[in-house]
Amino acid sequence: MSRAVRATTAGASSALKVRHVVAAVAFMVVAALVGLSFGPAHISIGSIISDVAWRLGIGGHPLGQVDGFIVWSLRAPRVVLGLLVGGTLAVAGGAYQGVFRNPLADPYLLGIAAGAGLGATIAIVVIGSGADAPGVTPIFAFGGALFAVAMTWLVAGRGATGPTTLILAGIAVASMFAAVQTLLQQSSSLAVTHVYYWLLGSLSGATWGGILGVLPYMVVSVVVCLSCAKLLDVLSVGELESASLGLPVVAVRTIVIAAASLGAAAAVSAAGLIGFVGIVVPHAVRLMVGVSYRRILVLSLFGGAGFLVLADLLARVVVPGAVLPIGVVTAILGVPFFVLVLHLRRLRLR
Amino acid sequence: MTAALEVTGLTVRVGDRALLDGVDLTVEPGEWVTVIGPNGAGKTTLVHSITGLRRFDGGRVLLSGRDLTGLKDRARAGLVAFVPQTPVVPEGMPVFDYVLLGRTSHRSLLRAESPHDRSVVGEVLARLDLVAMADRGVHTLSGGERQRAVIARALVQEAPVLVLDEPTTGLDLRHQLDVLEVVAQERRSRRIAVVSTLHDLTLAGRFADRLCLLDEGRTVASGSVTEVLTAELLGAHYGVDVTVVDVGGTPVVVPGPRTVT
Repeated sequence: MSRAVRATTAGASSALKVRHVVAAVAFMVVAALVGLSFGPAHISIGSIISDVAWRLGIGGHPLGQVDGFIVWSLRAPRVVLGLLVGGTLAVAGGAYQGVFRNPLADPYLLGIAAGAGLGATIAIVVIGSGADAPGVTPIFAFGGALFAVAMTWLVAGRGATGPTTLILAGIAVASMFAAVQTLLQQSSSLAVTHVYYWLLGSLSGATWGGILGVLPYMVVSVVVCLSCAKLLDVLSVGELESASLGLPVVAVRTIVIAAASLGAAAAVSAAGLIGFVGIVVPHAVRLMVGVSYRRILVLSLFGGAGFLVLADLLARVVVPGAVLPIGVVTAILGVPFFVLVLHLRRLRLR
Repeated sequence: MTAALEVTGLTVRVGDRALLDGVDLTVEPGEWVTVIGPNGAGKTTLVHSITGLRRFDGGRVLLSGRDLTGLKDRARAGLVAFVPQTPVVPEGMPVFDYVLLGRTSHRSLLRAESPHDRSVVGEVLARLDLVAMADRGVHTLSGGERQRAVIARALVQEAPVLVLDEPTTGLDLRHQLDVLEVVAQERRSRRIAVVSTLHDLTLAGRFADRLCLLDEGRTVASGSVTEVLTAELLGAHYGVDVTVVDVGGTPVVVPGPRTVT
């Protein structure tokens, strides 16, 4: 074998690189620490690290009682939920983009947003959940989101007809759900406000109990999507060719869509509709490390987690005394970031 | 000996129209059969059917003696490799990774590629003179290089049958020859059975052992190059006058009547 051939066979061109993972995890950890540190009461990152070290029994000093309560009982659930929702949405978005071979696909493509909206509306208007039963709305939103994706799937002939049909079916189902939601909302203006604020998205309701409720779905979703990353690379040559290479196309599409939708539904039920994470994060990762989903999905997990925690931080501190809807922040933050990455790439290509 | 490919009575219908109507085709290991015929004769339908990419309504396809209908995707990809007419070019994917996709059927779907997979890809890249481009994006290759990359992807499948749908589309004369010679070399050194469709009748005659002339979904002639490339047969089925001249034992098909003034 020639030296040139040996060089190529030794190099792993599309495999995950350790330095990429280290950078992405570092970004996520820094974002989490900043998220724990900032707030009305400023608690230094150093003292938080010191407290963590003390808890692990490797030196350091514990935080004071009040600071400890603020960090671990008030801020930590919010930061952890942000990490989970951001990571899950980014992986789900990347997986959708792979399945649909469309960089503009997002996790809400097949009716999850409309389904969650209708579910939440039913809970708030019909059942009257709200201030008195806050746990009911997420469950209905979760169920509604999954119901909508299932409807889309059936309308599109169980996914055997291809991505375009699925997208069109998703539009039809979403319109239908949105119409029913509007109809239900007619009953009271109070309900409209409730539903509106719920859908705008927020991490403010985070509790450890709530996190445990959505965690299993998110873990399953992320694990399945990451396991299928290699298959999404095969799918990038199209349905016909990937079938000729031995890929069971319909089965792969079904599994990935089901897993990504499960994660996105759990994320929406926990934090409302947070846009842009699912498009911007995988896309930014793609521009930085190339087109292989083996890289994109893993790095999106950490990148999306850190990104959402930073977005939530901005939502809390930009306007003193007020909390902006996090979906607004992800869009305002995401678009310029996206433009910047695009621009950097253009410079590099020149 | 088991034929690499044995097609009997292959029939494909859309509504009450038959795209293929009882086509028979047998290809032995190391043999090259080229399917010719006018547009709409059913050539692409035939190659999609024998590669398992399209359902057929009647007949039987045996790949190395195994019935195509009962095969799972991975097993099928181990028996027949396919080079499509217009391959999808994934933007930004390095040539090495692109060719590596051809190893999909060689390991369980969730496993990463093995060192053996990588060395098979390395060897095929070397044989097809693609090593220098291994790290470049497939989309940056020229037409001829790109087509060689697609053929490399099919070759690393290590299937006994290689099916090519119009492999010379959009290539200049030199690269047309280039691509066909690569295929010729591979089938000789590895006894691969080759089925291709080709529009250029003279090239078809130069590279194939046998020709199969398809018209309106039926095999209207099948046999050696000189038996099929005749002015009578081609004139009747392509609907134009052609002249077939013999150049050093190779039939050359010249469109138009014998005397052009």
